[in-house]
Amino acid sequence: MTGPVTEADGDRGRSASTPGMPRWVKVFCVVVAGLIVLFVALHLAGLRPGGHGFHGRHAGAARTGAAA
Amino acid sequence: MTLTPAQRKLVLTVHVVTSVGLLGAIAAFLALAVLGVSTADEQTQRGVYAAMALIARAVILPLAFAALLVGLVQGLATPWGLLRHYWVLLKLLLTSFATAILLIKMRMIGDAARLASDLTVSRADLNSLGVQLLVHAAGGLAVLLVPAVLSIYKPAGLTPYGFRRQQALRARS
Repeated sequence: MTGPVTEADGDRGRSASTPGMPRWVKVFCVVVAGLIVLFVALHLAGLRPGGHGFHGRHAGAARTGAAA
Repeated sequence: MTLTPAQRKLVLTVHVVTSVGLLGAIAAFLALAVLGVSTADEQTQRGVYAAMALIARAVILPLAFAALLVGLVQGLATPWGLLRHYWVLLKLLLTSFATAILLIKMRMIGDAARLASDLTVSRADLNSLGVQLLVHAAGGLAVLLVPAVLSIYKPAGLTPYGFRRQQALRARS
């Protein structure tokens, strides 16, 4: 198990310059960015899971019913 | 504040139990969501949404907050820190994101339970809500699996802040 900051942790620190972002972080960020773009595109296209309007149509009734 | 080794083990135990428990609770929630959209029996469907609301309120929400808070303690009170390693930082961001989404969706989950008890609400509308719950449960499970994997593999990578701290420690020693 790699240790905390006191160990080299893959950034051997031989140079004083800040190490760049690891490849796995870059790949992770690209994947997340892609998912966000996909999510926004689907919403703009109106392709929400479960369709439109149900929650808005009935949520008020649910809360009114709960208050009664 | 730095924890003793015994305290670190206790905090780690609590963090692992709450985090893995949260995964299990979301998996159970997902199983119910699948049943809710696939069952042909209307009574079963209506009962499922009441059970989902109970699991969300009584198990998932407390575990999500516990995992997040104990994780914060672990980060702040151990040499790992919260911002020094990319794997810790991403765990924090993902868990915070999942908890925020859960809080936002709690109203929908509660509404589903109340509407399921209203016999004037049609099955089509319940199905529509059920699909949303299923998608969110599956998404939440997928998001929270990533921190679990990061915790085990601990991939290398110091953030710029972590690197500066490492350099400062080396300069002192």
